[in-house]
Amino acid sequence: MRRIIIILLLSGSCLFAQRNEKDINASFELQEIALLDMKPSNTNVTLALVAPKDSGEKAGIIMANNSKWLNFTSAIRKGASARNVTVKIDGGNIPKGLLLKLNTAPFQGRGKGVLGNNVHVITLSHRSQSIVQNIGGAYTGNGVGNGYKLTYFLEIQNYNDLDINASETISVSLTLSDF
Amino acid sequence: MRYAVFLIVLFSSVVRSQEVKVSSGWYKVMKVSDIYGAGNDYPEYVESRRKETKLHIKAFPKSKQKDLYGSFSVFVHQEPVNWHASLELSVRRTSKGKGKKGGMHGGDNWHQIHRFSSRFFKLVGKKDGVDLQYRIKGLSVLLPVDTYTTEIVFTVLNL
Repeated sequence: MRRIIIILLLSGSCLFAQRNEKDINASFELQEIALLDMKPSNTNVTLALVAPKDSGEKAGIIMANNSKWLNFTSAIRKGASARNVTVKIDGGNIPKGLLLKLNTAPFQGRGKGVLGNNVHVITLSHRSQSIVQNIGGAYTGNGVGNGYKLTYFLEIQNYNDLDINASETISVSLTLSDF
Repeated sequence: MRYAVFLIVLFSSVVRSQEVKVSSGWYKVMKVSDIYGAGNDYPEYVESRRKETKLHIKAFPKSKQKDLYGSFSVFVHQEPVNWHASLELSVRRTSKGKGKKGGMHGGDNWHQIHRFSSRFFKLVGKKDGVDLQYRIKGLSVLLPVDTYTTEIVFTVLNL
């Protein structure tokens, strides 16, 4: 009889004990993110050739505002493939006899994470080419002085084809994407 | 044997002397729009609505005297489900709720929720609709994309 009383009391206390404790969940859903920007964003790069002062000299190249800073934020899943920043000419054609090149300097700034590696110099074309590879979860920092410094420059490929009066506007697009 | 029965009766009366009910938890989806421009991380911390959760505390079994004069302590701790060590969750009380008498002490500053139970606030008498707000620190694009979840456990004791 005593045992029965004890068992009843114990079971009663266990049932009531559930009432003084309650739980709820707190959940935070992080999504994949791929954000890319250039700073300064409101200026065009201007590259120009000038005729040599004296015959026999090389043509001069004028470059103004030819540097930009590549800022990005990237969030990826565990085990997902890394990301690249690719670049290609979206509109316009390079005047004959010239090459448009892009130098990507190593990362600088206050960013953190798996920021990737730069590909130093490429010749721009209508085909996508990587300029930063192996990006994981990372942010570069925002604004000039943060991220990868891109510098556009011209090279004369063939003097025979040059037309000093030719002018062309070229659009370049950059994409942050998975492999 | 009589002592054992006496102790069990005493113990059962203690655990039966309060009840807590809790409304919904907090589910936050972090979006691209939470990042202020490419190159930045998520903000340092994110706060829920000021009335994200409501707590209701009363005596159990029903006791008019304890609902008026009973002294209760609310403890809180977390039991991670899918969590990351860099995440820091805190809670604070943003209202006193409704009750006939009695005061409330503590809980109106941010109180970090640990894995061990710690006293959140004290109160006297029954209270309905005590509002709670949460704050999460440490959300970052550096963490693998996932849904991070923890259980927040509220315990009320007659202390």
